[in-house]
Amino acid sequence: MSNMQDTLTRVLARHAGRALPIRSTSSLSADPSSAIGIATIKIVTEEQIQAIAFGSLGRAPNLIARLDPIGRDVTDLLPFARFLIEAIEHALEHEGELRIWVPHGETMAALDVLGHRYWRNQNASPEIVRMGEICRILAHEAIFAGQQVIADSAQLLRDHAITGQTPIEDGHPDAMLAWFDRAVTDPVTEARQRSRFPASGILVNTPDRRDDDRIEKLRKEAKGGLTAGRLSAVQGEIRRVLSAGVQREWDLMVAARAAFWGLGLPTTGLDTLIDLSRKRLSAALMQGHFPARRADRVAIELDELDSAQRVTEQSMLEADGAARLRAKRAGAVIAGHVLARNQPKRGRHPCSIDVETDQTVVRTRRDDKVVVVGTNVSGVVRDIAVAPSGGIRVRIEIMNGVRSTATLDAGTRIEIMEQAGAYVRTREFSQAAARGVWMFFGDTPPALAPGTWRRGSPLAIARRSRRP
Amino acid sequence: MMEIHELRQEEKELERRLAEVRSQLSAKHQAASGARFIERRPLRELILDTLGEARTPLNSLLIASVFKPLYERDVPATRFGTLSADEQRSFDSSRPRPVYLCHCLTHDRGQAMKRFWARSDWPLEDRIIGPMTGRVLFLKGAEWVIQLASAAGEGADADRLRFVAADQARDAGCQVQRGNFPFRDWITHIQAQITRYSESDRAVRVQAGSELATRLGERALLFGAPGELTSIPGTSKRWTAKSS
Amino acid sequence: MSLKGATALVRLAQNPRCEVLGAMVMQEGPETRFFERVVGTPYDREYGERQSSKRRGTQFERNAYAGDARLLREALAPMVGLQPDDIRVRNLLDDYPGTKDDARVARLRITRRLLADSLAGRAAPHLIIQPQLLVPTKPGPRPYFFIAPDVLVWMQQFGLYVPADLKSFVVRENEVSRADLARVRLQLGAQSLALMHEYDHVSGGKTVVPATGLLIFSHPNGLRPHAPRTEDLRGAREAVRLGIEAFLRHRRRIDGLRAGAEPYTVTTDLVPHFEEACLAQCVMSEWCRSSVAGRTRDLGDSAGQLLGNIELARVTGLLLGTTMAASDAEQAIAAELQRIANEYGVRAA
Repeated sequence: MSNMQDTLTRVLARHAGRALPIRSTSSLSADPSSAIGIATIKIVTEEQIQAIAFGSLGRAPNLIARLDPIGRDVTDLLPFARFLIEAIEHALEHEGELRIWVPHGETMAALDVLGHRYWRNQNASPEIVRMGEICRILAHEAIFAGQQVIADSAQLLRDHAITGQTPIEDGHPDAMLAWFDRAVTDPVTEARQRSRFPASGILVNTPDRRDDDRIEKLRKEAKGGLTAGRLSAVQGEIRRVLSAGVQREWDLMVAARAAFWGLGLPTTGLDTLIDLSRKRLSAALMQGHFPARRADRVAIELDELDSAQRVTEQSMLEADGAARLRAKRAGAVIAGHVLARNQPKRGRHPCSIDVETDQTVVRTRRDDKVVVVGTNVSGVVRDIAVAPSGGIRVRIEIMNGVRSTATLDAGTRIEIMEQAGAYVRTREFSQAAARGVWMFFGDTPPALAPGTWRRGSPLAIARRSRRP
Repeated sequence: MMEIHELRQEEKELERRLAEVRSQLSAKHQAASGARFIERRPLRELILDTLGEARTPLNSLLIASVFKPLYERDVPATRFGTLSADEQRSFDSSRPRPVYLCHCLTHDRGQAMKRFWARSDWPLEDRIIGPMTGRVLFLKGAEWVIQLASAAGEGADADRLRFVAADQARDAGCQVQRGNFPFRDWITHIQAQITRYSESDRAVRVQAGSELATRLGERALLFGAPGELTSIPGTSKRWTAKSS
Repeated sequence: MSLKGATALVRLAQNPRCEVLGAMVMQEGPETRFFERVVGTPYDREYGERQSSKRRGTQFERNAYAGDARLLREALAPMVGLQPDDIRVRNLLDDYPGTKDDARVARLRITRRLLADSLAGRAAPHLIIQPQLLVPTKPGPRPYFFIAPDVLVWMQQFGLYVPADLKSFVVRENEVSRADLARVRLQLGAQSLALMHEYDHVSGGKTVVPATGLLIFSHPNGLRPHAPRTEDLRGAREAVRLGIEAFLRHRRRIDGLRAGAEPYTVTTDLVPHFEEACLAQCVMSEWCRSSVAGRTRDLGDSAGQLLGNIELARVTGLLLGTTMAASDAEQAIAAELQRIANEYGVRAA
């Protein structure tokens, strides 16, 4: 979406007094029945979790309030560790089916730090170590575009709707929710009031409610020599404040999830993404998490991330008419009609089509791989020219789907978009590693052999190399 | 009739004797009662004795960290500032003392390093801080605390002292493992480092000491030479941007 | 916490056009007190550093400075170009502890001497902990800003000191959030500018101070220093310099208006410059926001830039067709609004 579209949609949302959806389909598949939720409260700047709420959705969560999160004793985390291990075992039994709802990205960051602390910790119990590894795997999966495991409720709302407030205010989940609640008559004022208390996985610390400073003080008091009665009272208050804090985060997540599903967006066109996500998750859970450090492994991972991005974009454009409309206006999708079909032998190669569109902006270039939306037809752009009518004419050499009569016949209206490259150069980069290619592993570039150089600019050389 | 200076000498001697008796008294109390004796002597006396035992200047942060387990005394940072001011006032008064708490001095300008405390009855070169003396003093202080902890018996205070010693050992780069207190190894490690620096450091301090002794008066040699004027913008009516 | 030192310069660099910010910097006392005096009610949102953050920050510094800064010596040895054991350290809090102005002036004096010693080739420390620097402004209220980097590091590459700051927030895989990095770079920029001034002071302007600073973050566990990051401060220095220039302009105007009264008394006569980022960091943000109420800038910076901060009522009029477009641009906006409205089924209220 362009900045102008974003801005004008915000104006409309302000006028309408409610958030406006910007997609016609959901980027998240339907929740499986095994969907769970996790919410956390951390100590600010320590990145230490001090409270967790977890459990199945639709039920009250289990709460852990940690009396001494910075201490070495992590037995208080065992219930969470066991819960997570059980959820993962269920996922492995069901081909990687797993859905975890979190209130916002801060929760995933907190779980990732938790994972960093314990996944290789020789002093921790096996369950805690496994919990750490699972957290790292989940955090890693969360960075892939189109993944279907982690449902970041705040980000989902931002990706699927626009409110009538500033983008920075949308960073506050509770303020954002004011725009999704039909019971709120003045979302502008309501949102600003709600933003007084943080909604980012930390305790409230306003002048009238210094929960965070209070907990700090109580923990310090608990370390001094207290009577049993006083210690019990102090610990009880710590638990009460932390439990209330993390329950609030859980409630926000539940409300945001309800608001998201309340948009009523169909969950179609996500099979490829579901499949990719489950395969990645299953592989990581069975084989372990190995952060890429070597140059070839980092290159492979970057390719994987890039590929996931492209596949997600393609899936979205194929499934979502609203997104496709915007892409068309930006020239990323070409909507036109087949002017002519050039196929000497029906149903066989070679085959090319000429497509004409009245769009004045197209971003397709020669040699781009393209697909026809909603079909199995794909090809390569061989020529782009201005049509006599004033529009644009595109010639496409068909590579797949040469037998499709309906799509390729003259007069058919079609939409064309770039085909996502899902290929990951695992083999190539691994071979480079095996050969110890200097570019990845050396410090000194090789000396160039003397020889004659081709004349002309690189552009001219490239043009000469093109297929006619 | 005794002359004034004779009376002053006698007063000094009596003060010294009084300090000695008080020190013996607290030691006897502690031994006799078997329970922890909460030290109530004036802070300056405790620090003088501590310095006397350590035989090296000590940083006020280190002093505060050991006073808690040794004497059950919390000494806030501001208390040291008051102590310094009191000690200077005492020096300026007509009632001399046999020994004063004083600050270490920078080797080049003889200015006070207010966190480093020494005794006035030490040779001047032992109260001077050269370019590497900060390192040496930290190491000597760490060594002293570890020795204290090593000699401490059992009990909550001994435990706390051990943790202070472990912190010092860790800061000195020793291997420190939870619950483990290899005092001898720590001391060996630290002494090797002290040996590395001590000779050249002493040479600098001795030279600086002889130069400062010719330049500074008695008061300045204890509490530091006064600082020169520092130009701060806007504090003078005549100040302009160009003169800053 | 009042707006002073590097914090004030960073805020001015981030929003140089805001006169209300200028008044807050001039005014003695904490920002929340400024809010209370202008708005008339106590500030009811979170403000200032949490105790838990202060504790971590204090502990990180304590660890870094302990043992004659052993961990810092190890982390910075490659930059200094010496073995850690050969690095000389001077902690100015040992010379003169405390945060009051007399302590700062004393540490400023010592810092200037050490800079002069270093330039003259005399034995100077390689690490100066808690130095004190100063940035002068012209004569007037707030004639200078005290700037205190955590460390000055003598870098072999330049033969000069550069500022280094310790940041206790956790860094994983050497990644820092962009917002955090932008802010700390500006802080380093203010420190570098102050160092330029102090070097000028001791060398008569003959020293070219590199636009380089060091950031030292902490590991997640144990609060040990991470390997330092070298930051290019050219942009940050310039931003801070522009912020100071802006402050001088605001100060002149505020002085002209207030005629000896306190700066907060003339806030209603000042021109705020409300931006989205203000909502995340300034106590006066909602008050200044009232200057854009009912206008497109109330929807964010992007909206204000694209639509020119016109009245929202006008934009709604274009949508409903009750307002005539006054230009081709407004016609295009009207058409696009109506198209989007039809798409979303949004009708006139």
